[in-house]
Amino acid sequence: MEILYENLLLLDWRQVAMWVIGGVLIFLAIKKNMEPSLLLPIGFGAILVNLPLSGAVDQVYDGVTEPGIIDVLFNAGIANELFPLILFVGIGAMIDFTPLLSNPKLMIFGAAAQFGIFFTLCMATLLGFELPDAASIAIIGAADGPTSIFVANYFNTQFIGAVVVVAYSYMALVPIVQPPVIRLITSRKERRIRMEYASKPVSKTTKILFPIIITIIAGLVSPRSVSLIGFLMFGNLIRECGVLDSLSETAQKVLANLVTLFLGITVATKMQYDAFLTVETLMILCLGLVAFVFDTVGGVLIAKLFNLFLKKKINPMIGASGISAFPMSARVVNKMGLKEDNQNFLLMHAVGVNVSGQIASVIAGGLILSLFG
Amino acid sequence: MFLKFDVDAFLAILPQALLGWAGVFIVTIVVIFAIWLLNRVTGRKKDEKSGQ
Repeated sequence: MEILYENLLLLDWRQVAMWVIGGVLIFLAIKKNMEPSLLLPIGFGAILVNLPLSGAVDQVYDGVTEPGIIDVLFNAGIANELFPLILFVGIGAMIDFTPLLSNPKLMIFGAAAQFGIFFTLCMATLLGFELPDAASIAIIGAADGPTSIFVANYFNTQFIGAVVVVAYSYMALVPIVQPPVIRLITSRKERRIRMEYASKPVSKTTKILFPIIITIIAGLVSPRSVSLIGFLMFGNLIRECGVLDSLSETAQKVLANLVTLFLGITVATKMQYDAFLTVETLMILCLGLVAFVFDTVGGVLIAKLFNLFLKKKINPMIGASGISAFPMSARVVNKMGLKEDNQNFLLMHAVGVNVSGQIASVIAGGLILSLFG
Repeated sequence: MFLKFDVDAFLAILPQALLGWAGVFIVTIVVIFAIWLLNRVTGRKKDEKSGQ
């Protein structure tokens, strides 16, 4: 009889708190449709690993370690950076870089919107985090899950669980986080600036050579990030080459879904109550918000700076799309433009900036690795 | 450890952070130039073909 309740006696209130957190993540995924493909597995995983003596994670019995499947998956897929990289192949295959290739100047806003990463790095350092932890927290500002996992794992930070959960949560919250910040730093007149979209044709050769050239440039500047940008661009090359349609489709759907499925639940191994329920997690939650806010500020202010010199003004809101969260950020900006003026269609410009942000965030991740790794 | 501001660490990291952000701009400008060049070269090829 004792065997039925002896494990129950080992239950810690903090484990119950983690069940609640897991439940909240599952609720947000299902009811609010917030990044459900990741928040749901992460939420369920948080419950799974916080059961007393959970067999899903490594446990030591009589001095002998019994491996748990989630830890096995973590070592096989995240500790060696495999899952985020494979996911990048799928993401690369999903992205159409045509709006960017037809107007490459937009890339500058992608670079500007990485400001939040470097600002947060300084803030995290000021708050007393060690440099590898501060860099891992700062990369939340990349607004890109695989990059966050890759960099946080590279620095072997103890906060990887919190970093990933916070990164995905704020990516889902982009429609709530960005609009008030944009409104705060732009005037109504600026938000009403119309931008004509004249689609310039982009040759197939350009689309094929683009991922190869980006890989070479990024690899030469930041060799540590070459696998990150390389896998993203490999996926895009599969998409654009025109002879690997079935592989492209597999990468976009089956491969990306499969890795996402395991990525979420595997990350949960770093959400065990003793490591997660700390003051530092709360600070990471605040710093993540700082990163997203200052990414937005960076993109918008650079667009406003450009407007001082340009005859044909840019709607500064498109600068906010330089945050990588694709394609949500572009949609948010387009919606805000239409709200101010129902004939102000900013979507294509915003998408161009948004895909630039995807590339710039990977470059920023690579530079973080090179500078502080 | 926390709620104690480490100003020295902040001042030490500030120039590196600025260098990092500047680095993103520099790489981006190189990429913009590469795309511009690519568009010109492939655009010219197209023009030549249509001229024939």
